[in-house]
Amino acid sequence: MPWSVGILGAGPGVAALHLPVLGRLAEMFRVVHIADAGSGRARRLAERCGARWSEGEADLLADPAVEVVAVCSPPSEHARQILAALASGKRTIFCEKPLATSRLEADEVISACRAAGAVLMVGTNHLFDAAWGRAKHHLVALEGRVRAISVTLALPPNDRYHGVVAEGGPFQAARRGHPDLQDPAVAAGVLRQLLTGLAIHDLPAVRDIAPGIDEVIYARVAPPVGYLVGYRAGGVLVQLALTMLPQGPDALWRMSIATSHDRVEVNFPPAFVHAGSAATRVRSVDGQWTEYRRDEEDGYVAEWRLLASLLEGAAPVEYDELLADSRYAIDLADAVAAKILEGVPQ
Amino acid sequence: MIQERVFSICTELPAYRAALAELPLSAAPADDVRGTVAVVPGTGDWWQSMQAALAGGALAVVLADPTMLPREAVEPDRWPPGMQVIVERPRLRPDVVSDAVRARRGSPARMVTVECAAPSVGLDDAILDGCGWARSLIGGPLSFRAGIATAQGSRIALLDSGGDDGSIPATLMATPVGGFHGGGLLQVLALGEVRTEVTVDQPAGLNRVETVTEEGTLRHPERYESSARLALRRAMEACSSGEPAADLHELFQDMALTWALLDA
Repeated sequence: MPWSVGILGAGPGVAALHLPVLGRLAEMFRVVHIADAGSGRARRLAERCGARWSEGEADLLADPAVEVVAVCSPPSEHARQILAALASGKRTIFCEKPLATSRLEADEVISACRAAGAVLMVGTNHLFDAAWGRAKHHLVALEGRVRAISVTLALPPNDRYHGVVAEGGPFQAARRGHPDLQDPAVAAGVLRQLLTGLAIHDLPAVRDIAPGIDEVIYARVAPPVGYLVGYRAGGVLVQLALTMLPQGPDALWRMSIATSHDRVEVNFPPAFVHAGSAATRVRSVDGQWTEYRRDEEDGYVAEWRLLASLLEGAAPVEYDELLADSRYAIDLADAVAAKILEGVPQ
Repeated sequence: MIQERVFSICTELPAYRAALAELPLSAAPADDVRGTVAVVPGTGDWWQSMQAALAGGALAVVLADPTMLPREAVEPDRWPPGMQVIVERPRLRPDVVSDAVRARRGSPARMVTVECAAPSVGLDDAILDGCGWARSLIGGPLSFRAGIATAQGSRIALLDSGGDDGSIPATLMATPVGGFHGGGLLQVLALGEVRTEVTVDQPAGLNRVETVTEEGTLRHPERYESSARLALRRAMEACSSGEPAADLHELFQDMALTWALLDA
């Protein structure tokens, strides 16, 4: 019997991503309720899958048919909605990344989930990508020999990929003017949002091999929208680079890990599409390149499969890991914002 | 039939002796440096060797695969401006750089990232050429903004062009690796509406440039001319045309940036 899912949120992530993924996993999950915040989009989505729809979160959380609450609303709502779901008696929550936007929120959410014995899953899809799992296995065996990590993103507008997995776009709202990035406070805010919204895809994976943030070396907002961030985690140097482009080539989403011998490169497919797992290649010290095959399934499907395993009790909920992942991203965003504001009169 | 000028080339380096054999009509070997294109090996104190070639009456100098020297070992201002110098940088071949830059069709990079990995003994040289790639893809000199090195010898740095029309940032990450091949790996990405991806992997014998646009990926043809032959041809062309080559100036720009980075 599939688990019944209620989705809070009806934006592009739900229309183009979660509903198709759940459609692939019909033997595990079925969508029974979708709620929006007043856009009216929930009705259109819900009608197609024979689900109920509502506005706001109260009806969905009160719906006895909903077993799994999927929090797919804007990030600022996540922590509050998880707590509201727990208060309504729900005990299984899938939360889109990020889990929370402050340390306080993260602590509160994890404490509440732990106390309630709730199943909690955060949709950091790259972490569940099978290719990353194999790369991590290789890297863990090289403990102490990882020297540097770089995560490089060059992204065209998401609509290009929404268009191949959904209809009825454009899904992205037109950008309202350009923020004044010369203003350090604005730049710090933009950078914070980009780190907790985009870099968050890979930060749990980075934390796995470079726990801790000792020192931010540089932080810069890169026009039109992007960043360059460098920091030190113990003896490991980490660089995060992003540029979001109005047009251009297909997405580059690459994580490279330099060790004292090998260089491991993981190329993730663009967001939203289902092109299988990341592609991994390893360059050995003597210049031999080995390219590994992609798995058929991507991290989006894998994360929902893992949720099913958690529900069946086949895997434990890793509250401490989830909290540590959340704190890592928040601490990095705070440290980077502070770096931008360094020397600026407050 | 017009007889082309034949240049005398003074070199002991095997790669250049081979290049000479591949230029039978335009170049001839010479034992004495006077009046020749003198090839100076880029190992050891090559600055002193260049001075010696100058003092010996060389017509021009080819500096072959220079390694980093300490700041105090060179005096760029003392090199006579009219004296042609061609610098052979196998990781930064001018024909490959030209392929990469031309294929961008004027589309500026939004940012450039450089990653170098080489055994410790050759890492500074890989950084030097990494700086050269960043400069070439951005289209102008770069300044050091911030950086750090770990106890294990890894480095990251933020650079930028500081241009009037908006600064273009670049980053450089360098890690020492094991192994015995000094050449190492350079991976360069120029990100923007056109993406350039450069992979120079000397142990693997790889010198690859790809240009990626919305239409797809163009992998540029491999260059089969040896780096030494290309350097000799360029030196002879520079002597014939009298057009001053920018090689030495650019090498010093890249060295200055590398020194700043190594000081961090």
